[in-house]
Amino acid sequence: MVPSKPSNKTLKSGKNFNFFLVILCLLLVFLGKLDLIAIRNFKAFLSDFLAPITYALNKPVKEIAGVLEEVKSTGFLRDENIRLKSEIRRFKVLNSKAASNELELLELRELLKSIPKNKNKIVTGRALTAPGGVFANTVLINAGRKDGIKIGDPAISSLGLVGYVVNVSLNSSRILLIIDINSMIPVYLTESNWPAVVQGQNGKLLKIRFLSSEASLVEGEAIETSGHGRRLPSGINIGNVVKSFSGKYYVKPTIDFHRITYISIITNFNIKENINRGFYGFAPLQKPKPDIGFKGLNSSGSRKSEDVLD
Amino acid sequence: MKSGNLFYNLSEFSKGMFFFISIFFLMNIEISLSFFPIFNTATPSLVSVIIYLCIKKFNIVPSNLNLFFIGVLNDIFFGGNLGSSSIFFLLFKYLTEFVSIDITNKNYEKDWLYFTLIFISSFALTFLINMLINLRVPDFSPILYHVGITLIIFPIINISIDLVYFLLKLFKN
Repeated sequence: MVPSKPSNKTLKSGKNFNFFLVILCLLLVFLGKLDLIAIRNFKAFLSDFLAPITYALNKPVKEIAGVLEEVKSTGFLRDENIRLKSEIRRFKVLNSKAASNELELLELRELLKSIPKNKNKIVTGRALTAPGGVFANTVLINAGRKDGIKIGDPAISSLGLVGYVVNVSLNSSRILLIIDINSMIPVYLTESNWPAVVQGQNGKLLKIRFLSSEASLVEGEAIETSGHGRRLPSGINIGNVVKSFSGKYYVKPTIDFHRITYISIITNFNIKENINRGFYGFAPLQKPKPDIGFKGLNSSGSRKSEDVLD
Repeated sequence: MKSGNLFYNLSEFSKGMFFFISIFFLMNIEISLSFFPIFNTATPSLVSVIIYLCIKKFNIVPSNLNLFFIGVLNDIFFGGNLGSSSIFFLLFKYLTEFVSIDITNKNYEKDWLYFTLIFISSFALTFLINMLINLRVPDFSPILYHVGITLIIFPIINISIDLVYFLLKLFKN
């Protein structure tokens, strides 16, 4: 039996349907940008549903890539061994210095009656995907709402800030990496204490924005989160300043985002929640409270110049 | 007549489902390719290569609804703006059908050129939409790498498929 071809009427309705699909796509793009709860939940549900399948399908390729990497690295084992030995020696010296500095810091904190930092509650999840998109740089991890993760929680690794949680479902979460174009992180320059904002570009480097014209960047200078805006804790390593061929300065993240296997989420960084608790609507900006002091700024919000320039 | 229609719809549905599942697997492979150091900057668009070859080489035309759902899944996998990949796939299919070339005559250069034109024009529109949505110009290096690596991979896949066909024919004879 030969299947019959669709009639002209069916084809015409098909064309209308195609037009409807294109309109729907455009609508989805704009609605997705509005960050509506329904769309967020839909994305979270699908991510959660597909996470085990993605993990199972990604595993063989990941293993092959790992084996190839190991085979490649065996050729450099001798050099690697020498480098590691010298690094161990260097770290031993640094470790003893750090121990004495920590004791001194504790004593100084005691003298200043400084408010102790909250101990971070950390949940660690395995990265299910690697960032490979052209227009988005996100990673899916296998820890979700049931582990206490919320939207906005900072994601870190042993080397520094990875990004922050943008979508949470029951068993998985999506993390927006700092290299994504939609990511903007308030930072400060560790050597000169100037505050700035680093913005992702969907590439390997981060753009430095809103930096004062008085500030002078030093190549190799470490960049850390400042805690401004109260979205992220202060003092988390981001990367180092690098100079491009054109003479512009960028930040190179310390983390290699393609090699991340485990990502930790700080789940008790809930300052934002504390602010929202007393939120009854939009109001003009309030004067900063004198007890809040950010890195690089004094209580009135202006830059601490005396301790930097001297 | 009615049973004929039913059979036609059923065969189309099963074809569509098979295509959808195959592309779903391919999409996962595409994502996991970024674990290889060579694809750290960006991964090639394997899905668009396969869609092109399906339409031109195997005469399998995926339905628009199928492409819409593939696009939505792609956006969810990569964490991009929902709908932008669907627009890309729909436009890609439209342009592939619009350009009438016979791929079976094995003119690889002409075929490559057509794929380049179709891929770049559909990608340019998606890029523009994403730029308008984010109101920022992204770094061009991963974008150019993505386009370049896709265009390099296309003839490799195309020739590999022909080679497999040739070997199968050889074994049969």
